[in-house]
Amino acid sequence: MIAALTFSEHIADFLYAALPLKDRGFLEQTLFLIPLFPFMGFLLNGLFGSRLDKKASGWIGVSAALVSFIWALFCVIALQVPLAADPDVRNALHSVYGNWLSNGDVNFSFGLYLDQLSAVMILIVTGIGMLIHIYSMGYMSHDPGFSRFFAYLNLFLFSMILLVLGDNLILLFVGWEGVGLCSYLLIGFWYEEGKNAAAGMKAFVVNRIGDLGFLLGIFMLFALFGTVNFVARPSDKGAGRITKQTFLTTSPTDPERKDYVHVPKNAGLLDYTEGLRLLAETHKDAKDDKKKVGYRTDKAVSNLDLSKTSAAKSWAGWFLVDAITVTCLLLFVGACGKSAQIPLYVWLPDAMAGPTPVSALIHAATMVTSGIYMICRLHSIFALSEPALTAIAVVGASTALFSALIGLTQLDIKKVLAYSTVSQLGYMFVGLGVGAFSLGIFHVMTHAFFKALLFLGAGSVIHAMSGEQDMRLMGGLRKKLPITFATMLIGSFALAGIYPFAGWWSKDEILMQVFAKYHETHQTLWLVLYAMTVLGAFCTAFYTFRLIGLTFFGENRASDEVKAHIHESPGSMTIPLMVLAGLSLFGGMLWHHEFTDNAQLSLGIRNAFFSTDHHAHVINLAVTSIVAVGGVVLGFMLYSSGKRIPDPEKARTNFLYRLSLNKFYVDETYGVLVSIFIIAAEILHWAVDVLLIDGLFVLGTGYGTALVSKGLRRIQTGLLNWYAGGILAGALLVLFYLLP
Amino acid sequence: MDFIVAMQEFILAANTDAPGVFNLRNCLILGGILFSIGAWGVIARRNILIVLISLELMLNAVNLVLASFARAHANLAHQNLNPSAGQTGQIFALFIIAVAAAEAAVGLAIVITYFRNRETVDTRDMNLMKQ
Repeated sequence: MIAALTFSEHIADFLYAALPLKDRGFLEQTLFLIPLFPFMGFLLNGLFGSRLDKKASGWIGVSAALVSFIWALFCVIALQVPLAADPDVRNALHSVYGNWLSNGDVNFSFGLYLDQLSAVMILIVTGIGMLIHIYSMGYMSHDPGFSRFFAYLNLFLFSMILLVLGDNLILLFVGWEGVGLCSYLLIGFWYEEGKNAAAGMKAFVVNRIGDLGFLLGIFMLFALFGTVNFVARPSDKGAGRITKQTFLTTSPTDPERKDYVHVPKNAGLLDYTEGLRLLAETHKDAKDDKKKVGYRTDKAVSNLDLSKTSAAKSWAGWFLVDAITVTCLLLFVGACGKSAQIPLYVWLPDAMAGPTPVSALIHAATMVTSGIYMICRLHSIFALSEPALTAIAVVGASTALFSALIGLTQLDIKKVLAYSTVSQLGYMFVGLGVGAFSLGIFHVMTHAFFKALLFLGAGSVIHAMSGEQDMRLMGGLRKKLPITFATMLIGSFALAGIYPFAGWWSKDEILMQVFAKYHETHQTLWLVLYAMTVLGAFCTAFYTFRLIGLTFFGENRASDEVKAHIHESPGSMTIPLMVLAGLSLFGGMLWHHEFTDNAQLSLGIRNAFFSTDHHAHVINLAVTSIVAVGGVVLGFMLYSSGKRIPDPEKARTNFLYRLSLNKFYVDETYGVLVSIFIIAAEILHWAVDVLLIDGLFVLGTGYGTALVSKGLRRIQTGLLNWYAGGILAGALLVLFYLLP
Repeated sequence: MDFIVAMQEFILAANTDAPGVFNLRNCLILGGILFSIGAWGVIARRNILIVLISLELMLNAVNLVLASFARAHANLAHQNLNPSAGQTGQIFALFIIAVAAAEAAVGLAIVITYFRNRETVDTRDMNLMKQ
């Protein structure tokens, strides 16, 4: 083992010497290559896909993802070389390729920004994206829309890279919308079936609601800080070197006042919030919690009232509520839409109408985590608002438990995994809500590994079962699909949170932080949230092993025709499974240091709350271990024999079962709620459009003209004398009018 | 109503002046009467020839008024030592006479042509555009 480690170190040394990894400047300038390759793949497959044969368009797609991944890997390795000893200095690759919109002080640049946070995301996106591209070559091999599929996948990869690497909120939003579009296109990929097209539309419409909140949040940030850039541009001198000395200068009007913050020109959002945090740190001891803090910038002066909780209140005098909290909540609405949280989660389970690789890549591993990424990207703003964080935690915990309960009874193998995804996203938001941002990203990473694995495994099962997705018709597949079974088992252990699989490291740590938060604050809310997440964890373990038991154990319940076709998937599908299984097994173990070791500043993220309380840790460990193992054993015992098959008929008598099976009737409730608006809209349509515009304006004009001319027609007598008299009368009228 | 009262006063005032002296009021009253007769003829008569004659009457009423105003204006202008004042109205009247002659020639030519085609001079039958 040690020999192997030193050997791999040798290889790493060799590679480091051979590749252009030391040339940080070069890699910084060529960051744009990461999104460029998938975009070129998209263009090639999108424009010429119909003329290429399947193999060619498949390889174009895969190699675009592969090159992009390799280049991202280079950049991330170069990033690992520490830049300076000062921990306050941001370590990032940042290059601005041009101005997009420039008007006075408003400047939207087109720039890419790679720091430790986006490094994690970019590796997940391109790495897992590449694996799923390879998998798709096998999975979609019989599909007539093969090149279209790869064009969409590459476009998705491009948009997601833009989302992750964009150095300002506008660029992030472009990527955000781009992935939404690709999600829509891919959910409805088999658009001949109306159900799939409807699912795509549902995803798009629900996401619009979230996007509205997100846009308003961006506007608020712009109104508050006058910028949408995350950090200052690299060309600005002294930018990105935010230290106490940079910020804490004296007030220009009153030299005695030390509570003045000078923000460098072109400062980004994170520079401002960093300044706020430093200021709060300086004034921690001050008794005066009504302390006014002046923000002096070269653009505008906005006064932020720094209260005891360091939340910025009352902006510019007209805002009575906490401006930052409002901003954070609006941004969170956006995150709710994209990351499928209550109340906007309803699109994600339906999104499973798309091909399975899409479910794995977009609706489990990458796109749905972009809400978490966005909050982590703006973590220092969220850290200023305790109420917003609490709201995030509450929503996250509710979603985690709620969707886990729905997952308990689903019959469709992909639906179980879909609700599990919603639930796990809830755990990520709980991590963010507690204030441990780096743990949210940690769970994003491990979840990407094991959920992509589970989805791809499910895809392999569906492939073998000739398209059958109902678990009641499966069973006993472990002998016929040995690789799929082994890898999915690893994924299931990771999802259930069993030591030492990847999921344990992140989920357990999140739960521990929730418990520690209760331990520290003694607020009942956090205990309730902890109970909810623990119960959710139990359900997770249960339904995961219910899935394994129903699918792989017992007797096969499929028809003889299907049975005859069952076969293990080709290498292009099993190899990604094995890679992901390796990551699900070792991922947490290998990389948890990056996220948890430095409680204060992991991944360049300054956690608002991170407890290393040993006491809380032990208690939590005991609780979660019992719960996870209990869930696994119970789920497996009940369903592995093949004798206990889920029977929807029982729902008639069992109220709770009926609720869970019917997804708590949320879709139906939304249907009623939406139909109220639709009826209102129809009344409005009838009143305004039909009556007023069509009736009064359009038809009214016509009928009015006809009516008037019917009357006026009588004066056309054809008699010369009448006309002469008319002229005279008119002349006389003019005369009388003109006479004084 | 003020206008009508003013007209009544105007007509009554005309009678007070001595005979044989140029009197603008009398000329204007005459012009007005002639114009009204002409207008009545244009509106009421059905014979197109009578209508044309009435039209001439109206034109000549206007000529009379123009000449009268020119005369009155010349009287005023004389006091202001402006030798060319008062000629405009007379010249205008001459123009109208010339144009009226041309108009009468054209109009009568049309009427004759029309009569040859339709054998009527009644305006009530001249409604081809309406039919």
